[in-house]
Amino acid sequence: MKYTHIVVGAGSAGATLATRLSEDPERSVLLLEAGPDYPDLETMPVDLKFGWGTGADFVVEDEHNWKYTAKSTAQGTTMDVPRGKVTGGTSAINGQVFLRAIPEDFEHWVSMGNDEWSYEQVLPYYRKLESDTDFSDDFHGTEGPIIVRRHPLDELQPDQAAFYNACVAAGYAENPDHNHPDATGVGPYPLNNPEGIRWSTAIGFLSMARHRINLTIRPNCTTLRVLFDDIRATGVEVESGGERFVVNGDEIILSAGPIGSPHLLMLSGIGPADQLAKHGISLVKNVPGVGQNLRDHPTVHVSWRAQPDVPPPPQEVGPQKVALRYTAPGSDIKNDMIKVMRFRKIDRLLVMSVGLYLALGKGELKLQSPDPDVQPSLDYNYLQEPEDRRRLREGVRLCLELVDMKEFEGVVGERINPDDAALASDNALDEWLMRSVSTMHHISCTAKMGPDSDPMAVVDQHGRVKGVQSLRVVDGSIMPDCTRANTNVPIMMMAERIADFIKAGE
Amino acid sequence: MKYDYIVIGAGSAGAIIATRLTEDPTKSVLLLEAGPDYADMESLPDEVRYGNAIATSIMTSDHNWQFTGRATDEAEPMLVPRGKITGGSSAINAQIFLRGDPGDYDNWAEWGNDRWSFEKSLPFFRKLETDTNYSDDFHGTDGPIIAHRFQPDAWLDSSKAFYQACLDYGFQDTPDHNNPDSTGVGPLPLNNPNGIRWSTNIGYLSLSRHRLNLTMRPDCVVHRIEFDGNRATSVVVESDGEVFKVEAKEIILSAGAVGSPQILMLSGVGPADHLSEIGIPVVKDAPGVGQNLRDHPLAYISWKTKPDHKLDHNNPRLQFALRYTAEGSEFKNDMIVYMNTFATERVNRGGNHMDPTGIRMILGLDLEVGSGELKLESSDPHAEPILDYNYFEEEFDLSRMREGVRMCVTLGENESWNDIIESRIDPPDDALESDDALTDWLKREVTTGHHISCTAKMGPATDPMAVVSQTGKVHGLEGLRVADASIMPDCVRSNINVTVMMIGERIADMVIHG
Repeated sequence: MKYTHIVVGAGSAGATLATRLSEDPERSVLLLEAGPDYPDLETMPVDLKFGWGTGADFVVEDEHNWKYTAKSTAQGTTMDVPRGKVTGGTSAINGQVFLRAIPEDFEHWVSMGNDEWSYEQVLPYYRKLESDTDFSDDFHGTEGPIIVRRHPLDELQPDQAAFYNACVAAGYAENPDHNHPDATGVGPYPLNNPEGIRWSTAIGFLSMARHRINLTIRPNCTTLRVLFDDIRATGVEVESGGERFVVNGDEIILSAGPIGSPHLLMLSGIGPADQLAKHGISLVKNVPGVGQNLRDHPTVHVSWRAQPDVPPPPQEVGPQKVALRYTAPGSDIKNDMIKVMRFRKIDRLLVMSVGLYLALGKGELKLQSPDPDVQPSLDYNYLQEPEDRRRLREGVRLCLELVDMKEFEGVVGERINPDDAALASDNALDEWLMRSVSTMHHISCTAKMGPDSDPMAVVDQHGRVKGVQSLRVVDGSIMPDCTRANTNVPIMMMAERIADFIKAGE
Repeated sequence: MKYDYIVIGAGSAGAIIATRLTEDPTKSVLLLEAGPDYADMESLPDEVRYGNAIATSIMTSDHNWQFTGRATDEAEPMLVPRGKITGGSSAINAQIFLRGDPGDYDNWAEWGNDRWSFEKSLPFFRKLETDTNYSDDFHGTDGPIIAHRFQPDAWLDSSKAFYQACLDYGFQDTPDHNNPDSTGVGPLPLNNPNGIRWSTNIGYLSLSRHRLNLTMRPDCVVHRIEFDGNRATSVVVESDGEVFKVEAKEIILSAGAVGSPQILMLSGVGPADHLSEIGIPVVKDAPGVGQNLRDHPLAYISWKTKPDHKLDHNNPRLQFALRYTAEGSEFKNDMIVYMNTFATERVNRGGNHMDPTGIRMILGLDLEVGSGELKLESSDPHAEPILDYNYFEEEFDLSRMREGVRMCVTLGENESWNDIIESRIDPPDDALESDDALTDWLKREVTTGHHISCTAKMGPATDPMAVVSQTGKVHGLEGLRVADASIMPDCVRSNINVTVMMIGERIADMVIHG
């Protein structure tokens, strides 16, 4: 038997894509997922179902997480890189920040030769995927599968209120809707966790589609490689229950994420010829961009003890995540910085995270072994660009200025990190940054889209892998540059858009 | 999308066929099941997982189609449970792992189905079982279904009393009811190791559910099969309120002795006049579909127990059976008596499977002369078919049951029961006063042995009532087989589950090897 589409990975993109493609009963879709599947809210483990855990204390159980490790900088310690291994993918284990990329991100993509990805063209897909319970206008959707809400300002916990008020007092714009195209400043993050439930693509999308006979969902199936007849992808080799199987499809779509997708491409013979040769993998197509251009949002955490009478957020409230988006002084990249604060209950620390929403630097993903069970090496290579260090240094100092404001009186106590010595000079602070910098969990761009004139582009604007046939990549890998936003919503949007490309025969 | 095979029904036959066909990785199988699926032991609900609570515990469960049937004019409508879950009725049954008499299969062969003689069926009986008590030419030791018999140290007092009473009566001691020559009294072979109901879901689908060439779809109700001319091409199936069509090179109907003839008729394959009457266009006039309905009618002979006799609902409720030949009958082992060590009132009379009424013997007519019929009420696939079991139309069936009841009453008077039985509840003394009185009682009290079968019987094309050939292919059509209890030409002289599993193994082998 031959499916019309085999989608590898039931994550933020794959679940969306499989749902949309199987709306057409003439298409038969096989959706392969390495992790388990929980078909309904009743059977879903609590740590997946409820979104109380923020990004920093991600769900880490082996069975729902790939548990990758990576290098941040030469000075940093090995960094944990959680990625979802369950239907819903990372949308099933993430911090539920439902933030769109900004119009300027798409201007940037278009300027790199991707004229199908202007803000105007992608807006309908942002609207299609969401039900925003706070805003209903030309920019927001009200009938999409993913449900979005924001914590009202009058319900903020004392630490969140202090952060919000300090930002306002410091002159940042009050921003009730971070998903407005012109938004900048401080406001509550939009969150896809109605009633505290992490509204993953498994809940939002697959629940609409899993009854369809033309959609076959196979959890606990590890895809080992894509199979080719010459340069045409014909199927995949899959491990299930300890046995190996070959399944055929008219088209193979990799939605295995910015780590899984380039890894699978390389295991299948598509990637930099020298890397593949080194591991004895027969070359199908030399595509030098595979694994290169690794982007993320580097972040550091500035922390203070909470004053004794500041209450931790009750579990049912969860992390509220008031966020400040701003443009670094002296930067010409709008909204290139992010600050968000949270109360860490385990040690009663108030942690203000400052991140680069658009770093200039980039890293790389490389094959370490021809064995599919060995993860690729991940070198995030943070802060090699002086401008990235400068913006992050200033971001740290800005955190200290905010906390010195009267709005934080009675909330914040002794500073823990960075210590005074680290703040003594730019060099000292740089050293602290290089040791401390870590991931905001937004790895992307490892198989970027672009025109044929760009030798590092891996796929075209419709996700089709260059130089071969019947193979697409649709997930965070194909972003040409990272978005100035958490990547989950842009990835869902891209899947919605490419599903329509496929339906239109493009 | 087109599968090589669509198997309709993941029950005692369908789960086996799907498992065997997908051993070839180049063959793709879609296995459709109307009920839910439980992928592992941990997620199996207790009522499905544990076999000590027999039939009554699942009488009103969602894992059951909850059909009703007519027994006789005098009896109340009877509950007809059939499994609606992966494993089918093997997932909700009493786990009696009893083969038919060799003569049953030899009869099938004699009626034009030469590939179904006992000798030719035996390898498939062996293939499907791991018998933990016997290992010889008649028993298998590496099959997916695990069978055992309770050993003497685990025999309950009422099992022992029954055994002794039968021996005293003169019946033969039968340590292995699955020996082809067996008759008499002995421990039942049961497919419930450690109390777990070892269904075809547990035994077979656990071997195959990881296969990428096997697609299992629970919670999918089949509406009908569609044809191109006389070739079956696709199945119309309802999933979560939406209707889909899915194609296959061959369709195998394993929806059971109720579901398979029902789906055949909904698809236009059945008695032409009946189909016209309910407005279904005729694809193929097959007068045998739904006819020849066979079962094992039962009567309960029950006793109140003495206060000192403990009735524990956690104990096994069936350990022993007696198989015997009725006086003057030419059918060997045409009667069966099960010793039920924990009796409860019928659910449709307000009973609860945890509240004991005492103990009872369950008398079964293991080879009826009479037959009933299955018809459609409407062309709506959700409408329950009409099940008319039509018991006791034949005097020979009645006389054998009357004689059996009297014999059970006598068995209950043996001194082996002195510490157990206080008094007989059923039948009451007045029902025993005359044959007429006992006939009246039987017609009121008779109920199903849960072995509905033979509603789409196999036979040569020369038999106008034969629906399928001996390879399960529907006569006059292409690309469509039936493989389940429906195709038995006559009921077997035993609980039918093992025979249905054997049919699954046998037909799978015929599909693969011709």
